[in-house]
Amino acid sequence: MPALVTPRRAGGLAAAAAFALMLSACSSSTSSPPAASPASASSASAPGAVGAASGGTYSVGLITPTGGIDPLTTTQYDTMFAVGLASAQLVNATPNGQVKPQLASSWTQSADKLSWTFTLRSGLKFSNGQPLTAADVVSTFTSILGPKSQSPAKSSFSGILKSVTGSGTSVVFHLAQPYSDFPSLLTGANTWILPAGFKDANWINDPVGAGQFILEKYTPGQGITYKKNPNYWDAAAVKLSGVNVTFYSSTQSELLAFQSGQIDQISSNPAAQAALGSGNRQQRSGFLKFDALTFDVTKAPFNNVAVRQAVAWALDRPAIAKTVYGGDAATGNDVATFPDYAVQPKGLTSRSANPAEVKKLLGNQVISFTITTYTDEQTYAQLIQQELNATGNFKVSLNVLPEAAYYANGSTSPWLAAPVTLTDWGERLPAQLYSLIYVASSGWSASHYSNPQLGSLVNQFEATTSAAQRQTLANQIATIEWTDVPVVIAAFEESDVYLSNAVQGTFPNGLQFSGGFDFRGITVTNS
Amino acid sequence: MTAASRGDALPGPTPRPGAADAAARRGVGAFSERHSRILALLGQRLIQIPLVLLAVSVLTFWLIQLVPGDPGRNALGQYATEAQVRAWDVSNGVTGSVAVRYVHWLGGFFAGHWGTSFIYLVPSRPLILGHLENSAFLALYAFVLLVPVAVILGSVQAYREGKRSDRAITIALMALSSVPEFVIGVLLLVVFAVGLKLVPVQSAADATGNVGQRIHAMTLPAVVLAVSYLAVLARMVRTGTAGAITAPFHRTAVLKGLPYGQIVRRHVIRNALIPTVQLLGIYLGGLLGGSAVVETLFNYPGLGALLVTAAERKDAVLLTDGVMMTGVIALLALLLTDVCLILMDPRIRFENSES
Amino acid sequence: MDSSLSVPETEVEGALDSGGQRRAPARDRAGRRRVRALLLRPTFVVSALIVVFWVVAALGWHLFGLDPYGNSGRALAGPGWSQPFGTDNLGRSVFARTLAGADSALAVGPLGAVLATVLGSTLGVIAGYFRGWVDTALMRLFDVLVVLPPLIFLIVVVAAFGASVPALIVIIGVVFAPGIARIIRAAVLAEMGKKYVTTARLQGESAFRIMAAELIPNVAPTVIIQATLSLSAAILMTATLSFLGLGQQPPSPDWGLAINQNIAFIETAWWTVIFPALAVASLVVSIQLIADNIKETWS
Repeated sequence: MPALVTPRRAGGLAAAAAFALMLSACSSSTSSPPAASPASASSASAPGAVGAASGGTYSVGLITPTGGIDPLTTTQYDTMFAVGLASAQLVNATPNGQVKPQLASSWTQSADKLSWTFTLRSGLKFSNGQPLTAADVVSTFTSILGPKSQSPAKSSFSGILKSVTGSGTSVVFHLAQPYSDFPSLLTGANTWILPAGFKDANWINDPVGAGQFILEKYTPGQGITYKKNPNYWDAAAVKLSGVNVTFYSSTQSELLAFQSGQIDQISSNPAAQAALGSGNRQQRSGFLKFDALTFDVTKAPFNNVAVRQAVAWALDRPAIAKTVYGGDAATGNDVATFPDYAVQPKGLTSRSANPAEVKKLLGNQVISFTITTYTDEQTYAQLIQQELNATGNFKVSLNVLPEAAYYANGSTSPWLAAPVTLTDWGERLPAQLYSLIYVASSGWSASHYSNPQLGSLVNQFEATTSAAQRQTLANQIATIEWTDVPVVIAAFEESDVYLSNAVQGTFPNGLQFSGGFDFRGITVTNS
Repeated sequence: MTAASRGDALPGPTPRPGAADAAARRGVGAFSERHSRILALLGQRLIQIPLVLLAVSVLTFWLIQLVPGDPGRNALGQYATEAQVRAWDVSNGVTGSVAVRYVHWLGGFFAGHWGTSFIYLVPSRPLILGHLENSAFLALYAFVLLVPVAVILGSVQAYREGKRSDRAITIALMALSSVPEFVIGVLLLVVFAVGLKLVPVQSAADATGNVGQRIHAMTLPAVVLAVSYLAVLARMVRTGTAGAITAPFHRTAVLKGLPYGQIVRRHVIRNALIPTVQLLGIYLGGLLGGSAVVETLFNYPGLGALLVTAAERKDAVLLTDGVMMTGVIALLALLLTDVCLILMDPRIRFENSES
Repeated sequence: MDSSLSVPETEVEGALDSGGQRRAPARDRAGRRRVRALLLRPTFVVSALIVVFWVVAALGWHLFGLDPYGNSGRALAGPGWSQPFGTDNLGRSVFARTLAGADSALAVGPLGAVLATVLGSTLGVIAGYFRGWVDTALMRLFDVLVVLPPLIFLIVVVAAFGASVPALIVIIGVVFAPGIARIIRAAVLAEMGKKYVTTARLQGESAFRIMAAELIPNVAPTVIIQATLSLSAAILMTATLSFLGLGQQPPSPDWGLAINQNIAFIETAWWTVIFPALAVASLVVSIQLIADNIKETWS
């Protein structure tokens, strides 16, 4: 049998191997990602840590950010996590919708309801040792509101917040109109407090913040390491010595990493649920978002309210909660109020799948339309299509676009211009949601719906502090939203996180941006 | 068998003017003939490669503009206003005439500062070079796994052509390569990383790990890469080797009584490897540039996944820089294979051994 | 000089015989002989049956009363009597979806591969025959396309021009043609040195005649291999595109899309991924085996 591996070829292989070794010698000197390692005894000895920093290192998996990691402009959940670990807000939201002190220790509303005064704790410091005073708060909010601001938070405060003044530990927010839920606005996205005179872009290159951790090292596309911030005002309660963030390109990679013990938490989704079963502890904490099926009410066939109501009555909402959210959802009733909001509408009929009602509204008509949405929503879109087509009164087709194409800029952008869209909205106050989705002139409204009566009711709702009056107004608002149904809201997704068995303690404020990513009291035992 | 009847029928790149002289010089020995051809080839390519790269850069920069989506909107999300998105676009240099931006990029490229990626907000050059190195390392690992196995399998098949073992190997390899990469990858991950816990799920080993640990972490993606190219390469080797075995010169050589080992070494292997080397050149270029699917699946910080993100997010600077890099490698790989073709050209050797 | 024409003459099937005439066998008889030879090969028969099965599934799945879109009532159910392949997370029958998925798999792949092969082979033969500046120009043009990472190119072009079936066919044809051209060119260059070509040229045959009648039949095995390789690559490429979300639209039962949507469930509902993957694999393997068998009976 002839020899097939000649001496020359063997030499070639040896050369290739040598080359590989050489390359690896060069490679190991470049910055490579920090691995998310549960065994972190070495990092437990952070020098100069206040209090016992022996709680281990917490490993988090986040989806790779594809945008700047910048407190003022980021609105992606995963990037907000990365920022939130190192930053702090004035107040945080609790899982049941209350507002809790963080950097601010107390607050009051003025008698004329047009200003709010927040009192900061004394002795606050940023991670670089600089003191945190009212001047920094003023500067942060002035940047958000300023004419050159690129911060999405600006839209939360436009028309509500006029200006911010203050000195020492006292900050005053001057409002343009009364707004009883104002403190909740301060738990929203992009409201982390930054040092005065801070340059907006490239925070990641000089990450200063008043949060529980200090950002140590950022490797683009790979991960971030944090160590405990000794200057945090409640550093003694923070038991962890650091946090390791590893970026993953998909939730499936995250799931696999969680299962093999490389990360300590993972957000729940149907696939994770199926795979993990009940073997892991879960942390439930309030609500994350809802997905709105929005109709353009200025165009046929959805300019006819009967058609919109028929769609609402055709959907099987518990099935949606189970299939799309894995059961981690509360069913919705087409009213844009999160279930953990303090004032819940009363006296409305709960909509559920009712074929008789659909027949009554549509008779034998067959309504054809296309749902336009983006890839993350395709399970929900397919389920809606399946349920509606099964009634025989609808013929639904789908147009699923990549996210970038869906949100392409301009007024002809699909998410604003298509006749029927499916878009997700993060947790916000009902009044905020009204101004975003139910007002044609808002620039965010795919429904092009406009109802001045609804608008005035919402204004009154925020203007008053009487609980009884707010309840009445809430009921009226909900009735209009429920009857006109320009937007079908079938479910509100809960925030549910699986924790590895190495994690001890409960998260005091849940794990979402409004809760401030509070890690006080958590420890990780090394396996 | 004279040189005249052969004329200019040799495979390889175009002979320069004066080919007749080169042909006449053949009598001096194939050695210098071969070297002069290689030099000619290198000379030509030194001019052509930059032109090709220029064309590629123009094509890339222009095509990416056609992708729907707006970098500002991608960065700021759905809650930003139109005005804010426009301001972001201006401050990140993604507005204005495409030609102007291209020229600006080109100038920067030659000057050595390749611009900044607005996705990752870091300079583009170290980002790309770092990822390139990772991809190259992985590709080499896959290469080392792939080539010996493919060559052995292909040759075995060729010598057993038509028999059951040949058929069985063919079907097995085909079946393996017909399953999409991502399915094989996930299956391997679930079995070896999650189930048996033999390898880590994330294949980018940490910087403090030694070579052994890195290789250990990279094994699964390298195996997946190797498997996806294995069937094709084995098939090419098989065809080439089988072709060489059944060719008349093989018969002639056997009839002439040349020792079988010499036959194999000189003729069979050369002819078998010609199409194989051609294919390898293309695949090497592709492999080194990174396989986006495998890298994404295993979370490996390679160039392929980086460029896919750049393409989806319309980061023209990052994408064009990256394509330039992969382009250079691919073109050099092709050049290498063309040189190897000349080196392995059996006709020259064969001629000389007869005369 | 004649001695050089003796032994090598018989080497290439279908080439010129010593009289310079094209060998003209009784074509019909040989054709029927080949078909019979093929039918005697078990791998050919099995592969052909599989391909026919998928073609029938693609064209006629609605005739079998299958519903790939409706909710059967139970989600993520394993394979069983009522649902041979189980159901997915929306309660849809995986069996129905796998059969219906053949439709989109066979819509783009074959035509795209044919386009790529025709384009690539033609250009490769031209480049290999004429050489000179024609060769250089064509090769550098191909370099531009070969150098562009195909996935990036596909992402950009699909994002810009859409993922409709005609667009995908053209795109795949254009993406695979240069690679094929390069290989065909190399094969042609190897053929160029052979006696029958030199003789034909000396006899003054036109370039077109030489290319069409002499070279192409002799590189035909290589062309066939490239055609099948590009077919399988095209099918896998469209699956990858669907995997990246750029191919077929939901709720299409396209195999690549099905794998994309269900890969997260591979641990708990493996049937939602494995059956589409096996479908892709079986189709691609069968095509390649058919081509293999044809190639062997050809010579």
